[in-house]
Amino acid sequence: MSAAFDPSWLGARIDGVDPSPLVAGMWFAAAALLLCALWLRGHRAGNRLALAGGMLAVGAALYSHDVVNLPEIASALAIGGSIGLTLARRCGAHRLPWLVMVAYGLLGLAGMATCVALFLNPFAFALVDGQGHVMPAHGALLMAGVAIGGLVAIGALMMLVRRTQSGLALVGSGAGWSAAALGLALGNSALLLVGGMAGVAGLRLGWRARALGRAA
Amino acid sequence: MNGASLLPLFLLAVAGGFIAARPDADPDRPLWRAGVGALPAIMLVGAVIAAAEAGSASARYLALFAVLIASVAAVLLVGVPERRWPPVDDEGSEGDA
Repeated sequence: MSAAFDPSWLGARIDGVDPSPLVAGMWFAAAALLLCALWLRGHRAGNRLALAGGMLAVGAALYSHDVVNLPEIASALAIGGSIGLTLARRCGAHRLPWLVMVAYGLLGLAGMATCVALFLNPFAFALVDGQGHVMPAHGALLMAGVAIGGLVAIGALMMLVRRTQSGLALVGSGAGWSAAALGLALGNSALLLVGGMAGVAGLRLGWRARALGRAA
Repeated sequence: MNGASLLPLFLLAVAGGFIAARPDADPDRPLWRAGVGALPAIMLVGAVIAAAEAGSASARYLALFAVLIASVAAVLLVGVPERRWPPVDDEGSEGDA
């Protein structure tokens, strides 16, 4: 198969797993759902579409990889989901915006931890060259992911301390760019598509909010 | 994996995000209640992929930690906008926040 028609760009083949139209379709359905969520962001359905797209993407990721520790992953998902659900239900209504900032900060930390985990185990994700060193492009992408994730976490912490919501869109944009860098390093189209969309949308919304703040 | 082959997808994502973030879509909802807030939760997928194939013990536990905190953040970013807003106090009247 020629490089021009290599299906790996669909994100359907990673680390020797055969290309699968089903997985590629799941990735693109997830990306389409998340694009609809972004388009309908003024409606309540937008959040639910985002949830459906995210769950579809997690299912595609688990289906398309050789999962070596599924019980641990399922346990982490269940524990984390329970903590998040408890916080979202029990927290006072006036604190909800700050809870969203905490969530963005946690996403930044998750991006940092994921990139460092890939650094520690580059062979599993074919990030190395013939001599066993991490390839410069992949290393730069992972470093960018760590840096952007750290900036997101620090930015969310500073906004919490200063009790301001002015940079909320930019913090969300940073989390999106961190996911996009991770998607480029892993060669995963869904991460790249959704991370890029969230990054650009956050930048545009943040720029507009800044312009409105100046005009006011 | 040829990273250059992903660049068209990246440009497509940039264009899609720029168009979808049109300015007049959410006149009543603040940004933190909008669907755009839940999009970065896709980071959970990256953490799951890293945890699925992590070989060494340190990489595995780091990736599992990423899965844990990314799942907390994903549920928060989707669940918080579902709460009633503006807040309603015990007597049923709306607050001013």
